[in-house]
Amino acid sequence: MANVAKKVSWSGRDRDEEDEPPAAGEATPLLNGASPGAAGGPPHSRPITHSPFLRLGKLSSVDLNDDETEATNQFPSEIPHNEKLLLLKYESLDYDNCENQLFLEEERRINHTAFRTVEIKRWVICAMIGILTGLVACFIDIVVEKLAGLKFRVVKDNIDKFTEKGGLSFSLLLWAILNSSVVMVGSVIVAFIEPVAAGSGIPQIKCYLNGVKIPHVVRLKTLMIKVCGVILSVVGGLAVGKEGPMIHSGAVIAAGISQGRSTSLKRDFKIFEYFRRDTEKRDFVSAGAAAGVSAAFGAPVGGVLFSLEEGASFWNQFLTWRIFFASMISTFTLNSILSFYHGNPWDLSSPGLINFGRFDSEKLGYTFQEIPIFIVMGVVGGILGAIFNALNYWLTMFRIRYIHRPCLQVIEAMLVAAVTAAVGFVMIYCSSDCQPLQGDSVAYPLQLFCADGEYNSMATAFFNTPEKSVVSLFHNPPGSYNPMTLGMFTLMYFFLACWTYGLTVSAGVFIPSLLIGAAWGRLFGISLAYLTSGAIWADPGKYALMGAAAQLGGIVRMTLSLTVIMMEATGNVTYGFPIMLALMTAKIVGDYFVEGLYDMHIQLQSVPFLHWEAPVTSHSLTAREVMSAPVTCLRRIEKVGTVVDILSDTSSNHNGFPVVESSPDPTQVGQTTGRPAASPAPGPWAAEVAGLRGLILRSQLIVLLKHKVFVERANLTLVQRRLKLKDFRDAYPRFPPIQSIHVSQDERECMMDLTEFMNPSPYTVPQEASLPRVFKLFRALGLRHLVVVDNHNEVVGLVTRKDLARYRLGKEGLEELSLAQT
Amino acid sequence: MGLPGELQPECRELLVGFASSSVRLTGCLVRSARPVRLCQSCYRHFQSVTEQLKNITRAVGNSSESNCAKSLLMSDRVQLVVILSQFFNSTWEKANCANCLKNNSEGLSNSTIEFLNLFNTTLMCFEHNFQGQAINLGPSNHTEVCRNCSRTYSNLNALYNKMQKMTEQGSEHRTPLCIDVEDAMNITRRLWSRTFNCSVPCSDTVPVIAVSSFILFLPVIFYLSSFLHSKQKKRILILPKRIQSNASLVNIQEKYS
Repeated sequence: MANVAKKVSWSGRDRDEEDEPPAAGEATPLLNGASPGAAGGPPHSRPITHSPFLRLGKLSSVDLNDDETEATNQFPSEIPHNEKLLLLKYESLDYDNCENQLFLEEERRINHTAFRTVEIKRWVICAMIGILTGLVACFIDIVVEKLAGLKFRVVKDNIDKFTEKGGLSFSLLLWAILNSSVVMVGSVIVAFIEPVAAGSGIPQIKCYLNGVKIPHVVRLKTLMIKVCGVILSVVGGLAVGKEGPMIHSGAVIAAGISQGRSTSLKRDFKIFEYFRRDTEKRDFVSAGAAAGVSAAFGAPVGGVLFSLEEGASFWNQFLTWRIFFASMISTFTLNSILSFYHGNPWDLSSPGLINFGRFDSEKLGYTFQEIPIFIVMGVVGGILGAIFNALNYWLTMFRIRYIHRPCLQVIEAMLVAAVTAAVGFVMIYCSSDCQPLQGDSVAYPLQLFCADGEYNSMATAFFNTPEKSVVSLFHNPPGSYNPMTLGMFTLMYFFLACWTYGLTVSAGVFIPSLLIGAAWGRLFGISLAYLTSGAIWADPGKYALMGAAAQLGGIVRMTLSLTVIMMEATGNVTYGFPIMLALMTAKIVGDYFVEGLYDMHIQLQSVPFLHWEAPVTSHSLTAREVMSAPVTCLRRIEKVGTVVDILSDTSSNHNGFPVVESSPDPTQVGQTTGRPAASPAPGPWAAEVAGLRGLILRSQLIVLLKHKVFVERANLTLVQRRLKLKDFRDAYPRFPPIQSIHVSQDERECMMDLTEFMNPSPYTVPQEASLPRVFKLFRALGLRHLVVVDNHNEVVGLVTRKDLARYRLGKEGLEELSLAQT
Repeated sequence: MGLPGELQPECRELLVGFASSSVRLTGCLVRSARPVRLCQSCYRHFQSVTEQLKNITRAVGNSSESNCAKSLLMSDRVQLVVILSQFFNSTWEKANCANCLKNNSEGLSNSTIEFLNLFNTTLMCFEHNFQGQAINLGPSNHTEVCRNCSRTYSNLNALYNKMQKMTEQGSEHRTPLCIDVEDAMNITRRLWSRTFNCSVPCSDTVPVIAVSSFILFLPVIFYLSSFLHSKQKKRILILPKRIQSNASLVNIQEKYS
């Protein structure tokens, strides 16, 4: 009920602000007309000079809502960030091809063989994506190994020195300072240069593939920051992994290569121009994400399935096969380079960044009796995952609200790094679990208070990169850890990992989750053997693997791809069934409490994300209630001045404009009929008959304005070059803002003919269509604008992504999110 | 020429040679199992076994003796000679004896000899001092040993670490030292820190606790101060433009009630 009241009140106060200039900082930009699929400009109080047409539109839009009382004015227009918002800055991608005349002409000109070439080019690009992703993964792996090795050696020497002499607090300080200074660098580059590179990048890629344009997400700069950031945060000893960011890196590489140019570097290689549009780019980005997974875990099939499960909203067989190709190439590249690096060329034994090592299936088979145990482990994983997510939710909310300044974010990251070191040190210091040194089983054996020739077992878990810790938990022989050590480690690492995820550093959550799960799984295995006094001969490594799977499943809630990734990473198909069981149970149990971590973060970022289906209880809503109205329309032959004014109106920063038939009245605007009597509108609404002719995008209009494609000019200079599709592609994906385009006073009087450039066949729905139907059309075709028309093909409203995404199934039923601006 | 099933005399000779050398090696291996002296005492025997095996295999190319290698190495299911030689090889590799032998396996390497000498000195030192103390068997009161032998012990430790580092440099993967050296070091270390209780590290718990609690306290201050002083992030609500029909309100109200 409360939400309804709010909704009403917001529409009520609209007019008051229009009438009197609002107080400083209180400005609420009006959404004049429809199409909120648009970036919000700066708050804007009142248009200064406008053509009569625009004034008209503005008034009418205000009049629409003037039936509200004044009593609800006090409702604040500024609210603290919460999870029930959609941010205006997120735009949609144009996955639907704009089938205008230029496009059709070009497609007609391309003959059969040319299409073949395009197809071959696609394969070449996929191969390049795979190779480059593999190379980036190699680079990260080698640099992390070198730097982390250096750091651990320095700290170890220091600890060894001070163990004899006393003064271990200096070692602690050294460790903490080393960690936090490395993390500081990593955090500074992320916070100040490219904030979108923070986190694992999987939520962002998920959004991108869902059709949301996250600003800067696939830029070269982001890739650079991401790679350096990951290296620094892993070396800085945070509880993070380098696997998640590989997915983002792969996606950026794919988006970059497929365009054949870099806008950041201002280099255009004049290749792959055909792919310069959102539709094609999306396919390559999903290939890149798959290649990233494949490089991270050595799991090519898992990568493809990851793209399928998490990302791709649009899918077909050819694409799948190409994506698989890219994944395979990626893991092969990584494998061959690393084999050279490790000094055994052509051995090809390290397919991924993390290698879980070989689980010997003969020794570590599982029996029928163990299946219930695995299910119980799944339940534990689900519950722990839900706790993890819930804690992280509160923390993230706090961070968004209070720690939004870059310097604060850097300080926070540094503090976490220091605390991670301190906790690790104290744990190692307090632990009395000593194990005899055996050959080369431990990378950095810390002796500390153990007898000579023994090492501290806690140190293998804390004093190591998380990847190595996971592998040692899987494979160290039974008895390498005592239960106390494992218990303390799980507890501490759980909170550290939960605290770390969401910091302004680029880092993934895969490895920490695996590590937590492996630790409690091993503990589980040990206690099982203890409780049954050896009746169940439990190899703790097997239970560590199951625990890791269950924990990861409980946190990220992936099922299909995760099962396959785990299977491929362990190289053991026998474990497929138990892993699947554990993951399934973890997901079911976890979903009962809270959402998965990635979905949660998408929601907290206020991204208009479209799920697979419309909310189940939304059948009673129709397009009429969902759509935005009234719509700012353009006429087929429009005055330049009008177009410029509409485009530069910051309060209605729309991206799509329905094109209607020209009418004799030059001040005509769309949206006329079909308004119910219940909503009185005394505004000057001319009953204009304006049939829908097409849809034109802001980007197209800007290109037209830039090239000054005016009717008058065409008549004056007959030799003027015709605008080609290439001109639009060259401007893609960063179209200049309208402010940068100069239009002289004379030119404002010219006319523009949009017929050639508009999409003459936009998708439309009648007003009566139900929300699920609209949703399905929108989601399946990847639309950006969906025009709602009445019986006479007149524009009534426009449905955009945010109109659909605002309905969400909450705890108490259908909820409606509100739009907000930063 | 005997029966077809019988072994040729030269083959029998080879077999007997292999048998005797492997008997010697086996005996040596078992005798030097504890304390481990595998590499230093058995490398000659191992070499002779390898040579015998080489003789058998080398015979493959030779036409007259070709069926000798064949009949000895691969004419039955069990293939005892192969099993035995594999066992010797894997034992040798597991012990990593190559590490403390010279490159041509013609004896112990210089560093190993040096280490073993130092090891013997250390043991002697232990023995010497320990016997002097045996009369007053105070529990863990072996300060004399600790005092007198600490120099030799630390020398030995240093040498061991140096050798470890040298092997690490040689190859990318961490290869352990040969078992003799490793075991000798382990014995010494165990004696030193368990039996004599000599390595008493200075535990400075108080400063460590102080420093770590200081570090742990920092985030608390940070979060509190940012909660109190940082301006809360506000979002500006935007009005969606909708057709306000009663029907939609009713719809939503129904869902909320």
